[in-house]
Amino acid sequence: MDLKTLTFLIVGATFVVYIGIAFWARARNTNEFYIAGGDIHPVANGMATAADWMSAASFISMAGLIAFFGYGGSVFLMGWTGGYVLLALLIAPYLRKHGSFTVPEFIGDRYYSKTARVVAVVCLIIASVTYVIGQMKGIGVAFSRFLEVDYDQGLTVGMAIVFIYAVMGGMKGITYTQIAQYVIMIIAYTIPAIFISFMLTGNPIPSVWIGRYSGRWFLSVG
Amino acid sequence: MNKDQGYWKENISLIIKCLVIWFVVSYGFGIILVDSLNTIRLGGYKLGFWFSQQGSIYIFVILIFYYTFKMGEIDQKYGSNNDQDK
Repeated sequence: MDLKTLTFLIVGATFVVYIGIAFWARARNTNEFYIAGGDIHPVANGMATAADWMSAASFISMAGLIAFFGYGGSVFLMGWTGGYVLLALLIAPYLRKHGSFTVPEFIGDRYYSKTARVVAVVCLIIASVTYVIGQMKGIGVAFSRFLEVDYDQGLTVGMAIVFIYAVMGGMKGITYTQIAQYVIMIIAYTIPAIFISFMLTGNPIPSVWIGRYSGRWFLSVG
Repeated sequence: MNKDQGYWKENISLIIKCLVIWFVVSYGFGIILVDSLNTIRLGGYKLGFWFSQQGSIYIFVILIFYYTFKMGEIDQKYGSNNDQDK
């Protein structure tokens, strides 16, 4: 079996797993569609959130950007990880206690104002569209390379697959497919990172040992 | 001061404490003080660079766990019954 067949088999199998999970965990009511029924275990939820953190954009472009920008790339790292701290401290606990489905709903109720709600919706749309553009670009590039078709066709196929399990599964389906993606991605990230680090520095933990590596081109440290 | 106000006051002071650390390690150590911290070296890394690339993120993760743990204690102390976990 050549490499290409093997790639198709493995990638195909992961998609079957995602869609299977989405079907198994499909939302059966509004509560499950928007907030996954509110009873996902914290560890499972953390895995799903981590899968968002290391999504297509980080996988394909950010890792390379940060390696080449060196210190300048830190703003992305601190920015998007720091945002999780704000989310965990200022929004998530109250959203849960309040029992609302969406952030704008909560903001509107909290400040007794329709205007605040509209502002929240506008912020949300700007943030999501920016995020989705990055993700869709990533999906398009990944699928066009994988299926050896044009970027446009790759994008369409990728969007169709995401659309199926997002609409069918709702938040519940998405959370469980994200958990599966987390497991696959953490393996896909860790294996090359450990082996590259081992080849370059003779030590398997890249974050500790790459600083001692003298090759200046790798990180613009010096 | 009644029970609700006490609960809220402890909650706010915990958030402020965490956000001060959040700001100091990322914006403070990672951006404003980066040049002076870079004179210190730690395991091959310049310290300022290390804070912006790795250190701040480790501290962010610790902060979220610390906040959750402390908030659980405060909820317990004031017998908060509006948490859907129970």
